[in-house]
Amino acid sequence: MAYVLRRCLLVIPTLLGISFLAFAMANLAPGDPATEFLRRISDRQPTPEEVRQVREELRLDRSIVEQYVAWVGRAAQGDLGISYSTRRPVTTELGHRIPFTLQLTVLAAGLALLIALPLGIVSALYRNRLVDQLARVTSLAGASMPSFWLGLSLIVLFAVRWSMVPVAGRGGLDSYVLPVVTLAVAPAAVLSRFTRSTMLEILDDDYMRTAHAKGLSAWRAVITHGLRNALVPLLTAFSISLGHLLSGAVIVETIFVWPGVGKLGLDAIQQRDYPMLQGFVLYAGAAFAAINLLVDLAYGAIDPRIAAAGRGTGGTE
Amino acid sequence: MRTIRRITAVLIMALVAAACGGGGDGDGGGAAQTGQNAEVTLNENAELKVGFVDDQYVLEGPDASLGAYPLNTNVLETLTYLDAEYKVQPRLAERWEFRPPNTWRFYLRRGVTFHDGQAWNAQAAKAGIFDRVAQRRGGGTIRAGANSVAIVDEYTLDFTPISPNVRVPEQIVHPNNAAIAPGSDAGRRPVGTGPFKFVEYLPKERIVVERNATYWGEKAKVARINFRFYPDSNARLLALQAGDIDLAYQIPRDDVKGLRDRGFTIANSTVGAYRGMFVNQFGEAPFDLLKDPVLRKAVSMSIDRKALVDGVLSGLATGDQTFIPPSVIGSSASVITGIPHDPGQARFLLDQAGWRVGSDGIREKGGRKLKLVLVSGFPSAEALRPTPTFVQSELKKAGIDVEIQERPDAASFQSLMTEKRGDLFIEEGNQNDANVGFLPILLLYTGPGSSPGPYAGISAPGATFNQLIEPSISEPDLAKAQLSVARALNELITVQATFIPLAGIYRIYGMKNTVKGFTPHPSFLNVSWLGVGVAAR
Repeated sequence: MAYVLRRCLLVIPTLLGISFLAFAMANLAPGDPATEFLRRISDRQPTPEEVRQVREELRLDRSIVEQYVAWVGRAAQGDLGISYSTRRPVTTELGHRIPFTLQLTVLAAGLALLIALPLGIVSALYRNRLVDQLARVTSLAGASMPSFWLGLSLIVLFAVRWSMVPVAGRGGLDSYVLPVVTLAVAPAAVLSRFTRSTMLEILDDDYMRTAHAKGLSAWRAVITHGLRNALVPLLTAFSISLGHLLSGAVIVETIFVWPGVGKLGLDAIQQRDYPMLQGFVLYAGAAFAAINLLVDLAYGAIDPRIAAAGRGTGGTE
Repeated sequence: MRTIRRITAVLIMALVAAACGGGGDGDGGGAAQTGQNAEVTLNENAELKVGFVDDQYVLEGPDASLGAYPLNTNVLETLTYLDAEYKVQPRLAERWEFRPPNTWRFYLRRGVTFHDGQAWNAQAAKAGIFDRVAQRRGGGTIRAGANSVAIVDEYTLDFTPISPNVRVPEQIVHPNNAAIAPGSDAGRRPVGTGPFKFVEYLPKERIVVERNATYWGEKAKVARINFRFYPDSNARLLALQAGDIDLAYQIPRDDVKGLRDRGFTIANSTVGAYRGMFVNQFGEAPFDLLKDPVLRKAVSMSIDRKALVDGVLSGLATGDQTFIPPSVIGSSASVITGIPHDPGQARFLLDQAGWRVGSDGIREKGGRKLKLVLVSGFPSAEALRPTPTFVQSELKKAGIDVEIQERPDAASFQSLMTEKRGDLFIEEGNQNDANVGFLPILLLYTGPGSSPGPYAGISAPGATFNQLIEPSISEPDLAKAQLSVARALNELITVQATFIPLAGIYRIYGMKNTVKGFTPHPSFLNVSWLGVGVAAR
């Protein structure tokens, strides 16, 4: 518990740091949020007087340091400000969008694991045979394919040509198929290669040879003994993919009209919506931090030796 | 290794072949129809599905625009509306008159109710339009103030803008000036007088409206319209082909032929937007070349607008050199002569100015290359492609080197313009009301009372332009105002050449053959869904 608390407290300076970086970079980017806001709502070029008024309203006439300090003060109380573009609280907008990203993330992550683990194990067990080569080519293709191309190709095939699923938009279960598959392909490809290389190392270990000697089949030995030892590095690799998924997949959300946080972040950048951008960065940072913490805790559950070492040093380090 | 390569190659070819295959058809095939619903039985219970671009509704505050702007779902109505010829027509106001020095009297339509049953009258107009607009900065484009409205009788009101404004009927057509029912929430559940009523809104996904059975005018021909947002134009196009939607906004020009071949109908409006280049005549080195009016004219002369329209823009544009749509200027559009395509004359002018063709084909003078920087990015660089490349190739023929700088969005484009870091700034701008002088005055006028912005900072034509356009500011007679603006635009485009028009842009809509009665509007803010129906099977 002390360890968890310590890790949670460590997240705060991390989030502060990335929020400051995001704030600084946003302010350094060309373009004026006030002009952008006025142009969007009025469909015309704003007058300099209107721009001045909006800059006052949005407190953009203050120094960057003043703006950031004010933002941190409000964020500490749970107030991430008002979106320049929708004029609604950033927390409301994020709260509305995060569940949609979570839906895709959980499904895509699950699918990626379902594909990657068996593929990687088979690839390792039948090393250099045809099935291994096929698996490696497939994972190479999956890792190389740009998601926008993959998404649109899947739409052309399954939605337009064969009318099996809708093109885009949330709806029934069938509406999840294409975005989830598009999202899952890249992490599945990377994880399968990672699984293969990890399994190859494990297969040569002594305990695996002992397992075979005891009469266990190759598969049984892998599932019972090998896989658990591979889980720790796999979990590390998986956590990185999960972090990216949770931050929102901009391209997939745009093509499939999925109202997630990735598209929210992209819109915030394009519209110079600083409060929304700050909120998005905070969310993404918190997501990564949370995943890292969960993964660290999971290590102890998977490998008792790590937990024991951690207790010896005061935490699972 | 060879096996892996072979397998990879086969997989990739299979995926590409499948992806490049054809898609759905247009629900009927055959020759493209104009969408007329004569002699066609319509399904009055149909739900029309429309694919729009990104959701950009503002949901809070005095600028709240759900259902109105930029996607106009016809839930709300304005006092006047813009027809497809940019003519102002009566809607919730039956007629209006100007009462000097600065008052507009509106005679309101009778027998109209809001969707919640409230009566439409002068009091409702005051609360639902003018008081709402008055809360915006500067009182909005119509310049409404807290005390601008005087009720004359139940169906008559006087509106006096807070500063002189003789173009109110032309401006009040904008959906941002629509009437909402007093007490309703324009950002959550808009209640209007339109032929459709609000049903539901899922941010970034869809907005659904249904027929208003008690509408004061002709009843809508569909029971429901489901507007879906597709930020990606490819996804929007594929949704049309797959049958997920019946009609799509903003079809990319490159896809028009393919859609027609698949049996879909393509409808285009008249000119609703301009594509052109603002010239930086006030830049410092190295962006100071176009201070020379001879160079500016040579640049304009070098561009073959007909080839741009016929080739790059697939014939779905015009070579008008009027800056704003010609129908807004009316018969005075002929006053703007423009600069004709004359590459021979362009080369002659450049030679006379001392720019000699170098060994690499690029002109130089005094050791300096004739190189211009063309900045592209409004509304986005992607939206303008490949026009900048076309301009680059045209100018190359005249011996002018062009470097294209693409900006990802309008904000960064504007930033470069403000800093005057470019020679030519290419953009596409919309005309969404009938105020003839609005854009030229807003962007380029530098006379008394003006607030010059970045456009004037690089391209302001100067005193003559100001003098020519000033009468339109206070002239209530539309024809006279149009003439004044036309003369000023001629100064801008033909004499000074600080704006180089490239094309007048059509709005392009794609739809299934079952969609009838759709009238493409040059301003996509003013599309009417009243007459649109879906053919019964």
